[in-house]
Amino acid sequence: MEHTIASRQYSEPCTVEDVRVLYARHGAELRLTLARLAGRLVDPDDLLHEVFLVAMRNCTQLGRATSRRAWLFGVATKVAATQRRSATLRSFFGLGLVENHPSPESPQRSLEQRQAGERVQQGLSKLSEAKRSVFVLYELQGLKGEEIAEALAIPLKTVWTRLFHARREFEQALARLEAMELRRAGLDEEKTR
Amino acid sequence: MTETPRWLETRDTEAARLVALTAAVEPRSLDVAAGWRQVLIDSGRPRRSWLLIPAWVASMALGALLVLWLWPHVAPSRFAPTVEAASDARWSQKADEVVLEAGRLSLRAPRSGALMATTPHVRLEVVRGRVAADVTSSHTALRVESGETVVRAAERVWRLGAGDAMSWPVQPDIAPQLLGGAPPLGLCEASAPAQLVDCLELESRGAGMRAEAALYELGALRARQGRREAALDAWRASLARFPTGVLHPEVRLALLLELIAAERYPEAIRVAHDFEAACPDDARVGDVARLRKSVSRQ
Repeated sequence: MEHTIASRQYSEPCTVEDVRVLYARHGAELRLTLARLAGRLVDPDDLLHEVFLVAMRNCTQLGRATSRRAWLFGVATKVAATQRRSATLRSFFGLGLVENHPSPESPQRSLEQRQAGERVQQGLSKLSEAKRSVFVLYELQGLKGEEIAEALAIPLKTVWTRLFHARREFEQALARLEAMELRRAGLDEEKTR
Repeated sequence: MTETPRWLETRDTEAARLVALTAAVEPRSLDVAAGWRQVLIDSGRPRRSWLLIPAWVASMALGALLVLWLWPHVAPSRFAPTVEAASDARWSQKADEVVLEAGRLSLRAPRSGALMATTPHVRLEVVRGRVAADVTSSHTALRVESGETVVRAAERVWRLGAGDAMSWPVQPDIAPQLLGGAPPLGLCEASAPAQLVDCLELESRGAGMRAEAALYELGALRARQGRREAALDAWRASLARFPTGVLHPEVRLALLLELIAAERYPEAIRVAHDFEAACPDDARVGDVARLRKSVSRQ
């Protein structure tokens, strides 16, 4: 049985089946995006669940969206940002947090890819929410500029500006991390001597 | 506006290479059936209305106000918390003054102002603090625990601070060696009790050691009978007639102790001085000096 959730006044009514199709089609991809946006302190499965609960409750808006995929990514960035802030706060107060959530990445990834993923995650953690969202959606998830603009409800020009700054800051963050590791390695070497 | 080339395509820097490697990773497959079932279940549950939060806050505030409003308020009495008394203590309150009659009590001054109290011996003014009092029929002992206490007695004023203690009247420090007196001298032993005074008076009118002994015995007898002035007269007469007699140290001591018992301290001090001057080699001169000093504090 198919339920119609959206109001009949809209030209493209959104049904539960529509959302289920979106879940099946984009769920895995969204979960990976959520993990990259929110970091390791949050369970990506919980976030994905939350994103689709939002989609069910706001089916009307989903039906009106130019790109439903972009709409879902927009919700995902907001949910990830909220949960990330909440997790940071809980971490600050010493409340229990689990970092070892099952990875949303394919188990077939190579060791090099896993190491690269960890390093990228370290670099992303240094970016602001706004820049991280644009960077992840464009560089890692492959969304087009227009899709990102729609998802984040920002002008296209802002997307490119944020991407420019995000790239620069990401590179600087990686360079700093590398320098710190080299310094630490040097100290360890001196100690062993 | 043209799309900026992705790092996945360029791979021109180390950062771009890492991002390209990461972006190439496929997502792990999703258990769509289980995940979607859970979404359906949770989406069917009613959402919590955000209006509940201000409603909850308002109800808590209202409850707190009600508790504060209905909480029993007892007006603090100015004196109620200021006296803590032992079970056997006797005290009362008259107007703004606490009257301590007997027993151990602790007095605490109210936050503003002073607490006035009286005992049979002293009058107290406790200022910003607490004082412990032990009141007996003979004296009042005080120990100031905090703040300041002004003590008035016998037209004298003492200001005591925290940790100070005093007792009033000061108890004379009478050594046991001074209390023995002279051994019975055996005068008028054959006389009946009714004629004992007559016999001693007759003997005292004589001369020599018998007269001196008779005066001493006469004073002791009158003291036992409660005739203090007569006793003092007999001993003064003995000292006037026999200032260096055999019994003059005993007479001086008897006179001293009787004057102290009568709380006639100035006279007692003079008698003690006389004893110290007249009997410098007596073994009890040190005890007399201590007794005189304790009496001098009165």
